[in-house]
Amino acid sequence: MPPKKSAPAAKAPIEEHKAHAKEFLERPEHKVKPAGFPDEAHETDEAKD
Amino acid sequence: MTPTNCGGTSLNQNDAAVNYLYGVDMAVRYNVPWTTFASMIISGRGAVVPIRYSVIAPTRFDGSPGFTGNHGIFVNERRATDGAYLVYDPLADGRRAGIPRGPQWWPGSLLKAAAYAYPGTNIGCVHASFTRDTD
Repeated sequence: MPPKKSAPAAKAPIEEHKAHAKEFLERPEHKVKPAGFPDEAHETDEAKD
Repeated sequence: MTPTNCGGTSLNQNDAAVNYLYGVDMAVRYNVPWTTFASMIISGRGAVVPIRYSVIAPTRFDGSPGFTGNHGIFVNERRATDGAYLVYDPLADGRRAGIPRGPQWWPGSLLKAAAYAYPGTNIGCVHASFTRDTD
């Protein structure tokens, strides 16, 4: 498995950002919902007055 | 009769809904490092981001005075000059004076703080559901 690269600096060429995005989306550990994540992510119905 | 409280939806439920309705497949990712989140937006993707509204409540971006719970917003782009993010908050409908209307440029520090404060989030990370690259 290739080493994980950090995100490029904001001012880096857009090609670097696109490459990082593509690599990041393949990481399996970020696809799993963590413990403590609410099942209902939005409470908008309670919000709107 | 209309319900007064029907709960909310999760990132995965929203992904399933837009898949069914529009054939759009979102990339739901958890605990995304902030610098990677910025990179994803700069690269041409939009994102739904769950936030804690208590962070937004004291600011001029508050779309529902008194509300401090969990909420979802859409981030469309990042402005290179100051690092602000164009945020579509469904509560920002201008329904009365003092409530913003339409998309607003939120400071990056504000978006980050609100996303960091969402329950179940690792330090320095945010959760997000990304669109495809539209650039």
